[in-house]
Amino acid sequence: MPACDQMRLLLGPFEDGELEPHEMQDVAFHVVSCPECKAILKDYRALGVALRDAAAIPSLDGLSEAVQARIARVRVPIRVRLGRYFDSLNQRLAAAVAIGAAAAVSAILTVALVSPIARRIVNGAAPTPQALSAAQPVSVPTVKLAGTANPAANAKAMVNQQVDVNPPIDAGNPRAVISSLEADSPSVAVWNEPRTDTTVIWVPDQP
Amino acid sequence: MDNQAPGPKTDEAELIRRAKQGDSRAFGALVERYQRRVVSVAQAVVHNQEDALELAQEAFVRAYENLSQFESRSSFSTWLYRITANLAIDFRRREGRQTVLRGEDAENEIARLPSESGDSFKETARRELHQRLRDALNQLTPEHRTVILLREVEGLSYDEISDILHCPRGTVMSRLHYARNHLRTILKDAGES
Repeated sequence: MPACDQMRLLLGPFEDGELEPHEMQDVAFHVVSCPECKAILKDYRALGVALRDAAAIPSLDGLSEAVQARIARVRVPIRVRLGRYFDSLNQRLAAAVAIGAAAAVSAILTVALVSPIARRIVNGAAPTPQALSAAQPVSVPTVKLAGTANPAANAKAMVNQQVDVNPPIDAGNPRAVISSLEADSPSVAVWNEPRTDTTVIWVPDQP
Repeated sequence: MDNQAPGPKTDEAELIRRAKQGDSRAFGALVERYQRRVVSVAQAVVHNQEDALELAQEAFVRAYENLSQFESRSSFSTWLYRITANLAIDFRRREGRQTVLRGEDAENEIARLPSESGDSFKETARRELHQRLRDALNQLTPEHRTVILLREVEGLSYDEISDILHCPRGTVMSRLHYARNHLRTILKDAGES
């Protein structure tokens, strides 16, 4: 069992809950088996209760008002007043910057979202329902591209690819989008690209 | 109102922010919130009610003047108590480290007189115990008295006391140990005699 002298140094912090957990445990075990230390701990507790009971706090009536009256007479140094002014200015500036940034982001997003349609309007007529639907990526059916060296390979590469409608047609490029079909035949599709003066003939894979 | 417990920290942060910008009403709310504790801290150091009230008033004014230096990373209450303790310790030094008991003796004598309705034995014993405690506290050095009052009456932790009084935690522990044992001995002797 640890010596009482050592334990007695820890009785106060034990009562205050300021010891490490293992020390709290050691003291608790010791106090249970040591009547003298137990009596000291009891006295400490009684002393704390008596001190709190005897503590006479004076009447605080008027203290707050007296402080307010003195504060009203306080001449705040120019340095502090300038600091307060710039603090409020900084807050207003930060709010303005935040609003401006939000507006800029909204404008950029708006332009980015409507740009395909806007580009069509600038280039030609108003967007048709077909053009609007063409603005979405589409899945291209398996086709053969006329004029290529290996149509079967090109057609295979195009299976289920998603392509964009905007890039101009290149006869050697297997990526393309059909914006309109000019023949009703299920076996052949002919498409003209006026911007590049290109005619494309699409033939589905033959089994 | 005097015993109003500190509210949510967010509310306090808002009051501090407004007070920093010169809003005296916001600072008034902080005064209402902490005045009881500030007076207690001052009283623990100077052990005199009138001086404690004066010092508390001065502490709040100093806090208002220096609010721009307060950094929200630390606790506002600890910052305020530190200002109070510094003022009280300086005051005590100016007074020559002697306990100032202006008017307190007379007040105690009045308190000893039985009331018109007659006191019960229990109440008389309680008063006598309080008087013995006050006498015993007056026999302690100001450093020991301050530490035990901050701990037992105000319930401050060892770290808070160490922070407010600018002394190591180990010093707080040793002063408390000495003060407790000294008070215990004095009270026991008084009880036996």
